[in-house]
Amino acid sequence: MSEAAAGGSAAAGARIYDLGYRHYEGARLGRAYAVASLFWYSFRAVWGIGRSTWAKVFPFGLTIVSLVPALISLAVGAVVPEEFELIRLEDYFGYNSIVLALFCAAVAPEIINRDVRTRTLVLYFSRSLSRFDYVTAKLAALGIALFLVTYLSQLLALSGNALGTDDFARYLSENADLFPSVLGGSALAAVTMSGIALAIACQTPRRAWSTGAVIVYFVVATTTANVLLEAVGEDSDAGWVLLFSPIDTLDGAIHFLFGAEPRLDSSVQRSGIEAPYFLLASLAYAAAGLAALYRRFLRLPV
Amino acid sequence: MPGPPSPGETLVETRGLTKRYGRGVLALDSLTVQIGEGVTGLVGANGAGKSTLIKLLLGLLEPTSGDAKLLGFDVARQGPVLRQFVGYMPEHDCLPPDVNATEFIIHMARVNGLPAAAARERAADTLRHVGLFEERYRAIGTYSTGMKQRVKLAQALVHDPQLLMLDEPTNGLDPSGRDEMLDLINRIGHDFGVSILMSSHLLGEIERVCDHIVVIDSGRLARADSIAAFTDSMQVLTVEVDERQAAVMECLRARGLKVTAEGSLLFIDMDGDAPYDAVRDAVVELGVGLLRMEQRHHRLEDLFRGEIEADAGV
Repeated sequence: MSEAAAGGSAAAGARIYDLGYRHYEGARLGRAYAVASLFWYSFRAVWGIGRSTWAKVFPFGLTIVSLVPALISLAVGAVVPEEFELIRLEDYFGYNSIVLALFCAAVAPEIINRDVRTRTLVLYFSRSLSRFDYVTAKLAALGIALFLVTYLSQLLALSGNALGTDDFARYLSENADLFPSVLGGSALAAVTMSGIALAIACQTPRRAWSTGAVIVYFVVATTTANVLLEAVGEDSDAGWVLLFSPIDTLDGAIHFLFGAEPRLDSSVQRSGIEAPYFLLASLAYAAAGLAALYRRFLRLPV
Repeated sequence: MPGPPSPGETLVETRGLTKRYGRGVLALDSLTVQIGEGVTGLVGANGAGKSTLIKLLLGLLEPTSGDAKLLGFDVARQGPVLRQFVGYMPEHDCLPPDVNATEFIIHMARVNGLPAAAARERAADTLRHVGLFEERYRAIGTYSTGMKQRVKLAQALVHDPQLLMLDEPTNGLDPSGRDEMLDLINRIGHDFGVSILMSSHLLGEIERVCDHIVVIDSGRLARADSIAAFTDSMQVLTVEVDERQAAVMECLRARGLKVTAEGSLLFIDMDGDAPYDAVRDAVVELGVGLLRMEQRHHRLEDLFRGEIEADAGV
């Protein structure tokens, strides 16, 4: 028998079985798993994974931009033989805060508004998820993405500094006490910025408006606070006006977490505010952002 | 975690369920109803309270008063657990345009608690059952209205619910799309064995696929029965005479019969065999010719019109 004939015979013996509808008897993993599933779906959406190429441009592009100072530090550290510290880790947030704000503006509307705009929200709330669960999963998706961007960039900068020494391992072990500060500072920045960005973004389902609103808020708040600080002058008791800027407030709080002095002539230094107040104000910003976000969704009609 | 109910139980049970929006509109007025297994049609005019009832049962709205049980679970206290066993297809658009159907349905299955492998398998099966094949890898935004309705149905069915709630599932479809959707619903309800609560303001659709009917009018329960009992309860005798139709109608009414006219036809509500004798006597008495006399079921449209007219005192 030829191969073709054998193939034909096999094909003739083949059957397509219509199994019909099969009921599902397996596990149903409940509410916590549902929240984790929504988190993972939203985390992928933050990066545009499973979406068009265009959706990946901003998150990946801005992440690369935020890594540039660290990558320069790493390259210089690898090439230059002398011992030096190119970037102080406590200053890194000051370098990339605007990039982080743009990241929030690009991504927050995508993950919090889309379901409102397309009215998909009702499909979640008619499942096991509560409104609280939904917001928590979305917040975690943006917060963890933001945390990874800030944390990884600081780790790269730390590696660059370590490469700039004679002994990479010795530098890391001598500066091991920096790791908790890097973790804490990154977590604080991530929670605060994502809370604020999501709270602003969810006020309107229109993407362009919410993206613009997030950018405008961060830029206007920073500019206004710095202009006011300039106006009240140094050594004034009114240096607290800088607390109107969440970015400068976070910068001060991160320096406090590192136990480091602020950069010379920076707004944080010129304001004369005691370092712990920056941390308290940052926590207040985070709390206000989260409160506005949860309040909005707990009352949103579907 | 409690499991789904055993077969034969009442699936939906409401007691005095009331929903008032703000201080104004009373959308549902002390509704007490029981709905069992099978395919049940929820019928009422637009604004009668059908969607409100479904949203209350899903916990999407808080009732003003009264309570409800779904699959034996208390809606107010056990919402997250019971919703694992319920599927919901909203009336309006609810799909993200930039995701393909496969990815979206897998995601929805996982949000329903299905493990990743099971979610993938059931998503593929469900999309096949609703009639989406190669196009399931395309972004949903490129789909026709009919295909989007199928995706909406698939997301409600993917986790094998005990009860499927469909809110106006044929809305926006052309006649052939409407037929296909009704066939699909019929298959899910009667071949797949998934109980369905389906709202519609088109009674013909309900008559075509449902076993039971719940009629809501202005937020109140007008009637709940099986479709067969509903139509059997009022059979009608159709009579056509060659002249003096009005006189024949008056003559029949004088004999205590309920008669309505539509065009050249007279419709007489059946109550035993008495109408046959009455028609014979009337045509003989008036000397008119009897062209046609036949017994048929009221269509649901007629019954519903009757309910509304009765309420309005017509």
